[in-house]
Amino acid sequence: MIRRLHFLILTMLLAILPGCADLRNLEDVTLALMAGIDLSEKNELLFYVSSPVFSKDAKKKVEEYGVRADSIRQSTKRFDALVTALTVGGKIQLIVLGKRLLQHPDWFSLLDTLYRDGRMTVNSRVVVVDGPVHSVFHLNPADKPRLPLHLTQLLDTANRRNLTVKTTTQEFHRMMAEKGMTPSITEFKERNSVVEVMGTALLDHQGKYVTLLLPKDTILLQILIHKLQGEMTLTVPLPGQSDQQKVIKPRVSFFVKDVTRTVKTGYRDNRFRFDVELQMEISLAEQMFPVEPAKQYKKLEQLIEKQLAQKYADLIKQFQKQKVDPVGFGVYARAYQYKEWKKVQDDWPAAFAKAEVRVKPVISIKGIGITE
Amino acid sequence: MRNLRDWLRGKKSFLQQAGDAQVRQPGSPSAKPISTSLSDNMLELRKRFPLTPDLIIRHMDNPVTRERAILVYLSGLVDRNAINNNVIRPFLDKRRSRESSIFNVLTVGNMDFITDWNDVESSILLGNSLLFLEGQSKVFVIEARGWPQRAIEDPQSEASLLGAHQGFVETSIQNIAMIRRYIPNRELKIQEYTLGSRGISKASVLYLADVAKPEVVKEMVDRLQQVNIDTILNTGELREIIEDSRYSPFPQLITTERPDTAASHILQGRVAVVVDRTPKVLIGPAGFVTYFQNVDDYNLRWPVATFIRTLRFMAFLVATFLPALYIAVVSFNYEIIPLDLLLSVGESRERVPFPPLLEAMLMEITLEMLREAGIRLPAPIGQTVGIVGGIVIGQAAVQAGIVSNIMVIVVAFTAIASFIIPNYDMASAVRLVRFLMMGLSAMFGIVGIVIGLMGLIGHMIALESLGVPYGAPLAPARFADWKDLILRIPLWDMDKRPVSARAVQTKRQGTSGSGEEGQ
Repeated sequence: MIRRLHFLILTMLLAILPGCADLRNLEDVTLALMAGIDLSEKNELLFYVSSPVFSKDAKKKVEEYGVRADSIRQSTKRFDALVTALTVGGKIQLIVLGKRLLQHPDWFSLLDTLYRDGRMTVNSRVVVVDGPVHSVFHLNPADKPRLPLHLTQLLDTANRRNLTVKTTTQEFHRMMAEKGMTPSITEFKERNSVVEVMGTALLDHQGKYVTLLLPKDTILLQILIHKLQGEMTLTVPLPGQSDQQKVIKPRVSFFVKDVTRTVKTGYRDNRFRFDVELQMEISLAEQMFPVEPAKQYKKLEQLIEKQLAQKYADLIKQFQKQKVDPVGFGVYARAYQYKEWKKVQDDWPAAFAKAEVRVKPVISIKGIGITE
Repeated sequence: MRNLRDWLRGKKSFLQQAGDAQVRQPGSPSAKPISTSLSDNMLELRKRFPLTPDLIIRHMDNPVTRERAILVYLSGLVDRNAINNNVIRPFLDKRRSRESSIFNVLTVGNMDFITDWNDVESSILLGNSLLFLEGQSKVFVIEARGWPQRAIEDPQSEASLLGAHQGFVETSIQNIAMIRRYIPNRELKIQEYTLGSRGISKASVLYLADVAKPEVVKEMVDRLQQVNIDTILNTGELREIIEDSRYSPFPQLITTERPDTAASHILQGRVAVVVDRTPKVLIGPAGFVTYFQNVDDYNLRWPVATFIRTLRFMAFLVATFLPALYIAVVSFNYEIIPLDLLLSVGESRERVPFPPLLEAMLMEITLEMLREAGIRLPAPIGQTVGIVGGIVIGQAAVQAGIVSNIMVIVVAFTAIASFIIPNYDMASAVRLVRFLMMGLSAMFGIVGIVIGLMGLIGHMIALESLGVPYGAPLAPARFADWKDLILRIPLWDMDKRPVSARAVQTKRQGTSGSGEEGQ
């Protein structure tokens, strides 16, 4: 009798376990690979989703839908009504935000559910598109794999070449929450059915769009943030010979092989002071003026140092002017000058705008190429 | 419920079934002394063995006393050459008439005499030849046994690439001899017991007296003595009766066909049971990891052996969990696999009309059927099974949209993985556990697999083999034994016997004099 009772209890306990309830077979779900949020001309929120079609009979391999809604959760319900009724967000690769949306502060609260719902992924990349989001979602290039996959691959390789940053949802959350830095995300544009990576969008404190950082400047930013990452090629012009008539301009390009970064943080004259020293080991990739690197490498090193320092100075000036700090100097300020940081922590970008930042590259040429 | 609980705790159940088991003698009610009259004995013999055409009764004259004598034996169970040359020939030889005793006439090694008809009966049935003499109330037992047996062959179920090519046969004397060839040591002790009340069989317990722990030997002997059964046909039957936990899917005693494996286990301090009429030897105490060790491991160079060990443990995980993982991924947790793989799984799943569990069950059962079909078929037909199976599983099923490509890969991978496990008993256990895991994962996804894994580990920790923890050396952790677990360290460093085998003498090279006494 006791045995039967035990068996009964065990069966009941097993039955109420929340098991098969969340069974969703892969082929039945709508697997959102790309999600988009945009703001229409009439300031209505538009939500887009793109998911793969598995059926062999279907001509198109991707289906995409857009709905009007107030929040992601609400839009999911709408999508359920449009596609097979199980939209899941666990595999979202890209979260595409319209530039128009990013012009408005407080848009970040829209993403709340991504962080609150355990079934959502935090590994998707946050990107901004210059132009209407639907133009990207309805893009259906015939010579490319499924669009979400193609875009993911495009952006990831662009990041490997340091044309842009790669910001995951998780990383983005950190950037938004961190007082000592401002977020930076990838920006791309659809032009004549071709997607082009434009560079890095710099956002302010609240996530509002501030400016676009071109790919050639992004690499400088990447070196400041990550030191060496992926393949880094820099090109600097030779100074003083800006002859407009010449077709071939004197340029020197090089691979960055190793970077050591030291940041000294100080506070003087009512403003922060950052001395960044970048020790770079480089290898020449291309040189289009007559300096013999084997003999005059000291001269060449100084030349590059000077040019690079100038580039960094311009970059920092641009940051300060726009009141953004994508590098995260505020983190250094907090770590080394906490007393002063505490006073300005709620408006760090303004304090950063006043700060004195010096970036000093120290170049040493380690390779000059194979054939002289 | 209690059964389940006992099972989870690995409770020993063999003790209860022992019941009224006694050290049994085939005590027939008609115990009767042997008569001095040969004619009376003849009559009794006819009465006791009716319908026995293979009973041979040879009439002769006793060369010593010149009286009548008869030789009785079962024709198929004796060595006819020995009977003809060593018993009948000297008997008929007139020159022997001056001998004083019958012992001086017969040229056989083992002779004995009995006085009771029951002993006569069993002795004849066991293949002895009996000599009845006129005027004597005792019967001479001449041991000249011989029965149909095969030659020593390569062990089929445990083929070895580099090891010896001798496998056990169906005669325990020969099997013991093969083990003795590996361990010619006076400490190798053999205790003999009889099993079965109808088909009496001999079981010999082999161990190294100064190495094996006496408690372990005693445990094994106790269990053998409590066996109460008609007959033991195969070692597997004996194992099932004396195993610690009868509800467990895992084998708790090793059976092997290889003399070198048996010798190696005996040397490590384990106890072997050689059962007459079976080509398998039972070895205990066994641990979970002993099923993943193979004599070839010590034959190969140690980095290679380590690599192969790693493969085996991986194969165990794959064979147990891969189909379950497939089900979990396809029905619940698709977040955990890379996107490109996910898309190709989705594409191949799209045409399949069955839910993942059914799809996986279908394929796994097909695989098991193919395997089972292949085992007992003669080789020429066996190939057909392979071809049919290959085409059905490999191509047609996918093309017809019954199963997905990925499922076929999963099944194939599972099959290969389960073939890597060197022990057939363990591989069969894995086959069974796999279905359990598939069911759990179909209900709860990854959580189900974790539940299954936890249950499996819990069960394995609770199991015992001859009272020794089955999970050792993993749990309870015996770090000293880890040198021969996944890593097979060089033999020159492996100078201690495994702790999990409960050896009394821990140092390997030691003899009883110089070896350090462990624990």
